[in-house]
Amino acid sequence: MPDKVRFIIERQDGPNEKPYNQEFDVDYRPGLNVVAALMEIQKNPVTVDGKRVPPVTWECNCLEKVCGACMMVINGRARQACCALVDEIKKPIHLQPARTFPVIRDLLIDRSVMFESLKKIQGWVELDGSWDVKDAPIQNPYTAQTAYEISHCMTCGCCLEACPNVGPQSDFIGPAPTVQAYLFNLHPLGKFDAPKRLNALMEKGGITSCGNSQNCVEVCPKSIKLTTYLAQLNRDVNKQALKNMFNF
Amino acid sequence: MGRDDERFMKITIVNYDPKTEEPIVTYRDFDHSLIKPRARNYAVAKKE
Amino acid sequence: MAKDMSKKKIAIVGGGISGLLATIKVCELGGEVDLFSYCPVKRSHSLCAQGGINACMDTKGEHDSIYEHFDDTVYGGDFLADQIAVKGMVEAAPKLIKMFDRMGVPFTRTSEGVLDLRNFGGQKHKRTCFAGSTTGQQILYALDEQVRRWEVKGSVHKFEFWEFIKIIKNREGICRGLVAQNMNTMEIRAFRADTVILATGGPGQVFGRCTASTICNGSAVSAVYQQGAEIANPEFIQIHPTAIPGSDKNRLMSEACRGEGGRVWVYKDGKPWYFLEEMYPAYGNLVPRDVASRAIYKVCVHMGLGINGENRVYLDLSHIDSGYLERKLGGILEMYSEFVGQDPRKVPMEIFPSVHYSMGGIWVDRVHNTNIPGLMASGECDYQYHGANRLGANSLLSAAYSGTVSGPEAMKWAKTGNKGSELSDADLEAARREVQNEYDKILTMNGSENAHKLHHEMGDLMYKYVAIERDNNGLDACLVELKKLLKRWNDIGITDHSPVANQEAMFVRQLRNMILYAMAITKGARMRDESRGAHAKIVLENGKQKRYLWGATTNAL
Repeated sequence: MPDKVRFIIERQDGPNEKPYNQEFDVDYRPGLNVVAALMEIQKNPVTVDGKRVPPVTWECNCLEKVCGACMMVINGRARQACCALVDEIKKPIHLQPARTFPVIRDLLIDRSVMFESLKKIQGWVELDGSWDVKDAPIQNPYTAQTAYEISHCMTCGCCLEACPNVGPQSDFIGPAPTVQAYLFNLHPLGKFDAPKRLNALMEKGGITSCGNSQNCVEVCPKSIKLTTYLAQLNRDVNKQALKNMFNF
Repeated sequence: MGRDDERFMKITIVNYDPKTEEPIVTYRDFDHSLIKPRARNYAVAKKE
Repeated sequence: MAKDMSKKKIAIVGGGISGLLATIKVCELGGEVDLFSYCPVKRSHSLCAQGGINACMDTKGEHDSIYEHFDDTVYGGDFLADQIAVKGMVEAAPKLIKMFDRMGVPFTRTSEGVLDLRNFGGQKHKRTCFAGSTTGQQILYALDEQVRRWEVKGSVHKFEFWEFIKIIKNREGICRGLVAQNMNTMEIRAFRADTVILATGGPGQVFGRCTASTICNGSAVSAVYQQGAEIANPEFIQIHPTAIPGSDKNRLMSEACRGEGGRVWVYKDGKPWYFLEEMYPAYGNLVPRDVASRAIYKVCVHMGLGINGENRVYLDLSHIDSGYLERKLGGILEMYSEFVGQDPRKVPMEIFPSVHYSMGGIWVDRVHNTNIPGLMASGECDYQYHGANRLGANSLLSAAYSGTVSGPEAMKWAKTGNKGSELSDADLEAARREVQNEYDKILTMNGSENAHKLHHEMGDLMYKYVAIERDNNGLDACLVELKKLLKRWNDIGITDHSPVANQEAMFVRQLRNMILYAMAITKGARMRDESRGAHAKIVLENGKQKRYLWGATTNAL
């Protein structure tokens, strides 16, 4: 293992600026990950040409792969930077922002569209209120396990970045927000509003925009079986469409 | 040092001194009326 | 539609579990919320809580009682928690769990479909509800969803990627608003509010490497401390016994590992020594965190028995059925494999204690008012409920419970409190201008110090002097060093002058707040001449340890 790791970082000074590359060397240490390397650059933001530059801008919080913040494109693949171990990836390491989303600066992107999509699919249980109402319903433990799996989605955006149908050419809201509809339809109280969510998915940008490319399931850092649930939702949406048609 | 309920069964209160930028420490009483303090020892089970 | 001016406006800073529950309560009472956060609230640090949330559900045939939860919490906190406040929290706990269940938190369930419970430290009953090993994430998400619903209804206005800078007081000294800065456009703006609730979490980053997220810097708490808010019990910093040491962060390995049967050991005389089980026969591996951390520290540092002579001990799950582990602890075992490259189902994990949680924080009364009228604090940033040491799985509980108290109380103050004079537009502009000037000044700093390096040094200092064992000479030295750091802060040089997402300039401002908070922690520790809970003071004589006594728990050590 060499004592330095080379990073080639695609930078951009602002939302409407032109991207450019800069290269940095970071001291190797065992267990080094991409976020830790970016932190080292913060301490000494000097490029390989010896130029002192502003430190690289990116987003991170938990560094444990649960918050979803540090998603970026590493060696061409969308993933969380905190668990991208330098030992396990090809060098030099290329970092780019996930350009499916508007770039704010450097690797920092604006993913607010994903949270807006969660409004469209009505991603919540219609609670009467946060007060006490006797007991909560018993739930089938197997269904609850499926819900637990889907509920790991951290809105990181890997699946949107990887999906060929998310982008300027399409209005697809993307795999992550779509599959969240399935989560709420599983819940004993949430399923009361399943028709609303399915109807929302019939609209523009809904499930018919999914081209079944299967890319999403490949990149999901939480290994959520996105394509399985997309297929199930597709069936549910079709059933709902028939129900709407025959008014039953 | 052991626990000193006599002097320190009190809340530490820290105020900021804008002149020196240093913390000023005082102590304040609080409510512990429901359960009487006892020695804390996890080698043995609590008494029922 | 005309804006309803009679609606009460509550500013809530922080979108973790406490802030979001307070938000929901305010909305339900007809108020409007401006919700400020460093990040989309769904990425708040609450999601790092793994093991579970305590509530006396008593569904395991163990005759658990709310009183027992109350007593465990007070005893675990070494009798420094306000008992009336704790009583309120433990009584509310089962109802909160049912509410979360209705909201859709995917708790792990038994074969009958009811909520499963697990053991946790410092408690002899199964009392911890959990969603695998990602309980905090699941609870945060459910609240995020409910808040989104209120956002759609127009009651919540999110200011995500905005940093709270300071509160604005009127001439009577009552908090009537705040100043915040957009972290992407760098716009600084002043906001009016009838009540301000800080729910900004803990100060872990003051110690550099810890189990906290990078956003848990305590900067907001320090800011209001400098504006007159009292801090209570800052010296009580919880050191979690089982974390994966890392150079960027110490990653938490949940107490649930021990709750599900994990054992802590090192080699002694060539054989595994299960030292917690030997030292504490009644609780074994499930002693509270302060006790476990000190034992691990003693075994590694004082006895030199750490793995390969390093500061590590084994946390062993390899004797437990892997299917069971997958179901109960899946998420974190995957994390360990991912970051360490070894499978904890097959080989023991290597762990060491790490700074984890602050029992202390902003002083609040039992309904979460600070000493500044109109300013409230809720969640880890307040000092309530945990005394000198927090029990595992009581943090999600206190975060949630405090939100259900602070939210309604904020509305009560907004409606009936003596709020004094309104802030004029000129007042708002003056407050904004002051922050703008401070920020502009930071952008012109051209000294020789790097803020991130200073931060690293501060973390090293705090670990050296204000961690598991503290002595007065060390604490005095630490205060001197911190003052030097505060001076050196003035000599920071900025390399980034960009008007877009200038993270360096914001960090410089946060760092100053962090140093001042570090001084409060250190001074609190220096003045408290006793050992209680997480605060263990040792006495040195001629540089050597004279006595080795910790609170009343001296026997096995």
